[in-house]
Amino acid sequence: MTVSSSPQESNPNRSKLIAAAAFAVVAIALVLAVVLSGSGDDETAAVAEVGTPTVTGNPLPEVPNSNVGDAASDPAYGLPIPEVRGQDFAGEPVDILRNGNAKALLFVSHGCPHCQDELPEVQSWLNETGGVAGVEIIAVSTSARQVSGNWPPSEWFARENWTSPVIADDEELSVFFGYGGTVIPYWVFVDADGNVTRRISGRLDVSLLELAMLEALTS
Amino acid sequence: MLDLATMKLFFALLTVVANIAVIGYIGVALGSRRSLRLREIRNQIEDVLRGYELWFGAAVAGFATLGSLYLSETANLIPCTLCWYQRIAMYPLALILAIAAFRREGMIRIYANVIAAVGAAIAAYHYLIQWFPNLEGTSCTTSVPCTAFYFRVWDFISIPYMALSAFLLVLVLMVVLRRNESAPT
Repeated sequence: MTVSSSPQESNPNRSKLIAAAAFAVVAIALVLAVVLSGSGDDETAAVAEVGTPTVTGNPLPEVPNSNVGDAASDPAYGLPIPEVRGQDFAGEPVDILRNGNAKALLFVSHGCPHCQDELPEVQSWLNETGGVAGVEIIAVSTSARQVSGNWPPSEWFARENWTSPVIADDEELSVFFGYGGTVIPYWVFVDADGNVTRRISGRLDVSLLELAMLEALTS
Repeated sequence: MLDLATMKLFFALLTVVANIAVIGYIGVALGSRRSLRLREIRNQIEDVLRGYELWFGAAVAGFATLGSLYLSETANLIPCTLCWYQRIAMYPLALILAIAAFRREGMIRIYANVIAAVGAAIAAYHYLIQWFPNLEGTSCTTSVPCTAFYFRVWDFISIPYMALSAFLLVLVLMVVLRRNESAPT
């Protein structure tokens, strides 16, 4: 056994001094934290950040890990989407219906760094190109938690100047799981008949996004 | 009174103190090879800490343990997978350093070094992927993604950064312990 280096035990004042110094550092840090933190910035009210959407119809099977290249291998390919009646952050109704319009559904979460990259990139592409005529983009804000970073999602969407409709998912992520999502960001492309043409998990390059939207339009 | 904002700042301030201690000691240690004055300062620092290295190490790991428990159990910040790996390193470190300090068993530094080094490596990787999430793929789980920041104080102090700072300070204290054991009192 190796004995630790010996304190100068003959001088009890030294022990007290060191303990007092350590305590002082912690105490000063605590006092500074109390003084500097003020009223805090974590008191944002959670108004309508989480929605109460209603999902009807058969849920889609879970998306395979990798199906970017081969949409037909996706078990949800050609299946009708569940219909969603939900609200945006302001409480205005936003629905996902089999209503004759092709759609691109984007599931994102405010706390996910990949979603934080995806949203402005898609918006920037929409600003530059106007998107694909005949295909509507609807975002679903899912997995919203006040303890996660980048809260609240409504401010995040507003900050990114997001222009497409947004549905706030509920705490059970009913819309996300109803569409077979496993990870975010998550895209579901739907043709005019309301059937799935492609699902993609993870970030999507805008050039592929355009192709997938055209595919949904022409299916 | 002590809400999450206050506690985050408290932990961040302690992290800065740990950073100053680590960078200061390493700076002095590197400079002491060329400067007699810095060598004297290094000796003075080590002399002040003599006999208390394990106690300080236990205190650092103990504070980190209590801090992580506060964040998960009181502030409800659910730990991600990499956070758990760091906890696996930090929690026993607090205990074994405290026991070793009480029993004055300097040999513990060998075990503490290994545990703290592993913990520091995981924390460093975690901090890296928080800044560069694409290193971990292109998607997040809906539970608790390791790539996401729960918070950043002053834009750079996140939870794994705090853990990394604590592990590094423990490692520096173990270096001081080793030198004090081999140096004459």
